[in-house]
Amino acid sequence: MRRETVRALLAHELRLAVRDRRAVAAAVLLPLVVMPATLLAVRLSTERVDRARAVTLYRYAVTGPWADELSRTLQAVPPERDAGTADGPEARLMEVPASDPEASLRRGEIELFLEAAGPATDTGPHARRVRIHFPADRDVSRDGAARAKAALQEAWLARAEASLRQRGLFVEAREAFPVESRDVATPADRGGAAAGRLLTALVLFLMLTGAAGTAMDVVAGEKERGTLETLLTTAARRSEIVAAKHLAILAVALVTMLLQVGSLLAWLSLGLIRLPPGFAIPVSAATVPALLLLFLPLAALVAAGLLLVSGRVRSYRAAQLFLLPVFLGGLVPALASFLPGVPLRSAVALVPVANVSVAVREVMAGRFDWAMIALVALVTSAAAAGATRLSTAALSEEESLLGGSTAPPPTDGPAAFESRVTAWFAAMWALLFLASGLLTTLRGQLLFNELVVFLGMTLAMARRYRLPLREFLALRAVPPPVLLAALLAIAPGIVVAQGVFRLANLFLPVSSGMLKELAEALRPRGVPPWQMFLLVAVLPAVCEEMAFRGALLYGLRRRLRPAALALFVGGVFGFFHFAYFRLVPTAFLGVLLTILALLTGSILPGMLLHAGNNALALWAAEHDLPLDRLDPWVYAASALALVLCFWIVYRCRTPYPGLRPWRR
Amino acid sequence: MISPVEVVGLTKTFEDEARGLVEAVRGIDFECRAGEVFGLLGANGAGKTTTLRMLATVLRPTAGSVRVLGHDAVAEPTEVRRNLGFHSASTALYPRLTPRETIELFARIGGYPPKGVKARVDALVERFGIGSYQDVRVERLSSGMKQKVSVARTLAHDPPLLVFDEPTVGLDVLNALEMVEIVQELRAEGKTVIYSTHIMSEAEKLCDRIAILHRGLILACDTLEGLRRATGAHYLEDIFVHHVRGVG
Amino acid sequence: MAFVRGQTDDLASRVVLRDPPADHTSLRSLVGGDPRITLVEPALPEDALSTGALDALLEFPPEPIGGRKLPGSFRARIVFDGSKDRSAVARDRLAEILGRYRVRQIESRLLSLGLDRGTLRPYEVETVNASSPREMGRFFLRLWVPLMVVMMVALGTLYPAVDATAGERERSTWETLATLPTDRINLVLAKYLYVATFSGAAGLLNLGAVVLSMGSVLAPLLRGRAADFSFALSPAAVPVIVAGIVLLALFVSAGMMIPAAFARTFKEGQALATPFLMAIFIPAQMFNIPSIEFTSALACVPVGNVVLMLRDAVGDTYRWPQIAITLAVECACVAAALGLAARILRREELVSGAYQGRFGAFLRQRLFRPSKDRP
Repeated sequence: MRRETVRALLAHELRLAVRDRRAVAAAVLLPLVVMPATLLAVRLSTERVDRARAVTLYRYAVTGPWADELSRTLQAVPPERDAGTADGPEARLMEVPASDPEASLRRGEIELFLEAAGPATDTGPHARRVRIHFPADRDVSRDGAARAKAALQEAWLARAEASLRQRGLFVEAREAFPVESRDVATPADRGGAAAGRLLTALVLFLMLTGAAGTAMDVVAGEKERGTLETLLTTAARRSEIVAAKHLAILAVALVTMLLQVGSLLAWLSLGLIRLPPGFAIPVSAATVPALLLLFLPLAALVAAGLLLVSGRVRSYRAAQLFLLPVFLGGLVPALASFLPGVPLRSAVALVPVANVSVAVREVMAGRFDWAMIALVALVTSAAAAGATRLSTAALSEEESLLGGSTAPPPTDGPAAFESRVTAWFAAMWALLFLASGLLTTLRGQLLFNELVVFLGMTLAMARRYRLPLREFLALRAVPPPVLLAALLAIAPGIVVAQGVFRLANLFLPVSSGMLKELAEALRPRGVPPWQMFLLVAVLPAVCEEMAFRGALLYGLRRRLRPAALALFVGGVFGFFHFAYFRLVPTAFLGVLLTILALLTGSILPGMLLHAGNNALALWAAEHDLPLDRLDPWVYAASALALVLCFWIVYRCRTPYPGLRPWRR
Repeated sequence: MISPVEVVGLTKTFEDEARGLVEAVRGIDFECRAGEVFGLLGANGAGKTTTLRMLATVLRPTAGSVRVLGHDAVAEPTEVRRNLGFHSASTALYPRLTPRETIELFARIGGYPPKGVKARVDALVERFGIGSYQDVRVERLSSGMKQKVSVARTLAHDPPLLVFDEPTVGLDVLNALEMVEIVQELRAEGKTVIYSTHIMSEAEKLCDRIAILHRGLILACDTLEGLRRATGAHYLEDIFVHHVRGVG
Repeated sequence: MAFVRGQTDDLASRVVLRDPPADHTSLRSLVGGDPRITLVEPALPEDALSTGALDALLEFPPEPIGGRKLPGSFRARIVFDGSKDRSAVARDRLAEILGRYRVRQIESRLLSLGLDRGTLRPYEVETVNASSPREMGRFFLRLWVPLMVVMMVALGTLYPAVDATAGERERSTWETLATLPTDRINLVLAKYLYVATFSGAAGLLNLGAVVLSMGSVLAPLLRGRAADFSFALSPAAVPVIVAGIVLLALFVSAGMMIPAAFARTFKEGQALATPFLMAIFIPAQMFNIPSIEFTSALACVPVGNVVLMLRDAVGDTYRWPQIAITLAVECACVAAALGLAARILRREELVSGAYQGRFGAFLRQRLFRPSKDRP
């Protein structure tokens, strides 16, 4: 790579970026004005609302057999003992008469009412109850209810003290068994921890918004204008061109981010944005170098990611459509800092973006683990380098450089289906997602999902595009050893999938409570075992294999190479199962099933494996078998057995027809 | 002596969504001599642009080889591009750069010695008479002015081989004439030029040898006189039609 | 959020119990026996707390001399690090356990002093949510829907608005349209309605998607209380919401087409239209606070009034005077924006791209040149 060439190209890119005044205004100047204006507007609104709430009167009614007694109890609470919420002195409870408290509550004439439930005279402990009725969807009612509860608590304490005084004991109830808390964290520690959680997401957001326009223009825009071809015919190497563009995007990302952060700090110092009282952010001598070491590679990764997207699309306009997924893909791992149980010294250090988020959290809390910080910087830099390499490869892809076919797109037949298969599956996913909220029983959900969505829409695709069913669904006979191998792969397959789940848990630990909830949901009471077997094992095996290893595989077989095809179809299969904390093991199963289909050219062995897997999982759940807590050697042995089964399949293979070659 | 351009068995196949595999160039062979203007003549869709893009290493051949001054286009693409200046209707200029900045950029990234870049830029500005608008952004220039800047850009790094792919498309008569004169001057300077066109009069006026390309195949390749003798026709248009209709 | 919840739930808090009072030996088994707590004994608890190896330290400092105390009482102190989530969770858990123990201790002391249970605990207190599942559902929807609708309408307008103006010039089809045998105002109107249709459709479809999917999205967070929420809109709310979205779409469409008309390319158009997009988020954010009341004054603020109207409609509340003011104000804004757009978009200099994206040049020419010199 020649430095002079990269320098010349970089100067050229920066000159173009700076001369695009409108883009500079939209990406830099506007947010400098709009963001503080928005924060100011929100602050003014919130202050106005808080002032209104400070003078709130919580109107309540009392009802029930001993309402008078309750009413007197509440009114007897001394004002100085009225602890309540943190409202100002003007906020108080006020009783109003109401013949029908429920109706008054509905009409908004009162905020809550107290029901003195139980006998009119006190017959002993636990006989009487006070029920505070309030609509939880109203802020003022919730506040009022909390205040009433606290007042009742104070009334009880006052009563207890009065009883003790009668027996000659002058005791303050508050002083009985007091529990206090002492926070050893300084305001700087607390501020640092709070800031540390948000900082990476904020920095990432600023970099993405600041550099997105430039990034989309440097390749996609150049393709549209025709200047990319001009550049590609010069002596500059692809890698030099990509390096210069990457550096240009990086520069823009850093400058806009620094300008925005500077603007925020300026507004803070001017008092436009106010921090909570006592809030402080610690900055030691080590903080700045540590943050630089973490954020610079992150900036390089952001620039490389944006460049990759720009390099893969054909126009600036098309690039816009990919911006939202890029934003989500970047910002979601940046929230890893909110996970309390994920320390920096863990597998998260190997996950780009998430590692920076956790590391920044530690740094801002005053904890400097330099070895891990260096590892995080290295991993992030490696990810940026990898993305840049892919961008270089994209510049050699002729179809994306020069546009596709000039012939009109097909409207019918296999070619038309291949161009629309992903849209169909996106629609199916949306339908499943909506149905999951609307259908409340397991039986209803399963029947709808399998019969209507998977099977029904697969057949609809076949009809719409007039596809030969046998070829479309890969309904081909296979040699008996293949079926036997599929059968034998059931047990080791499920064990290995659980092993994969354990590995995934290192990165994203899942609550055992959630797992229990899922297991309970899959074992509804009153459903006979044979029905559960049909619903959970047989039906999904048939319908899902037709959809994924049938329709989806058929539609994508010419677009992706076999390895990518297996990963993609497996990943989509995992994504369709909404228990996302089990995404990885489900996707793993999906990949195995896809490989089986690719090797045999048929979905039949996959149906067998799928049904067996689900049936075995059901049986294991019924008998509380701890498949995710086995010894490592069991997972290893199962993996070996699985490999053996697939080796048998490989030996008897009849490859799926029409695939692209495995390599270029 | 090494030929400036040697093309042997050059083939390019594309995969089309609707039509399946399409052979845009089907195993063509040709060679350019130093200092000549070699014409590629063909109708739209004949494969001229695809051939030239393979020459310029923008596309990768499916089969066959392309060598520029002894450098293989697949094995040594950078060296090929260092020795080549490519001008096409689809190679646009940067709208926000001035002509001076454009020429300087392409001189630098084309590998021109850094110390001589300024002098090179001045020479080209003077040669093409763009001094009066050398500091005006390209987006504000007329198409004739842009054409001159584009040619100057192509020559910025002083390559021995020049490729012009339909350079007069969209130009008026005077500008097109000017383009032809520029190519003649370049030949006089000893540059080798590959000139692709579908305009017969240009090919007649400019080219030392002409290859007739049709549906990815070279149907004939000779001097204009040689083509006339072989077909018995005088005008290039008739010669072209004779060969093309012969293919059917 | 589900992962965060899982993290918090499952992490056992590492606690040191230092010198519990001799009279309260059951404290150790109470604290240690809680499945959420693990008693540990590091060498230097204070150091372990600051490094994160310990979550909380429970100690029992001596009682101050004097004061009026219950016999056998103790003072407990939970030492924790507020900058660490695990430590804060440990503090909450210990406070809860000690709170329960405290109440039991107070009760038993008082009983031993001769108080009867009836006096001690005259009643139990419980809260009852008087809101129906529908009302709770609407509460959640009110928090999200108004701002989201404004955002979706704005984002759904940007692409078609820029494409219908700058995009036409980029494709060189603007002049082709201008040569059609129809008034230019018809062209402008057709483009405007196209943009407004997309914009309104984006808002309505997104609203529908949110309402239909809110249950599925929130279910993991509601921990089995999903039956307490029903996400559905009242039929009476639908026309109000649709009217709000349509008017918003009409206003935003006109507002974005004006600056975009000056651009020569899609990219320029996007840069020119983005300030308007950002500007409408300000009142939307400002008014999206749940406790703000929808007054007549606020009904006069464009965009913000639609946010408030939608919020109330989602919550099945209808303040008809404010709704009428909102509709009137929005119609006036639409008319003004449309009038301005029509005047600008009819100028032939715009058709030919003479301003080259310079809005300032247009203003200077139109507003500051003497009228007799204006074309």
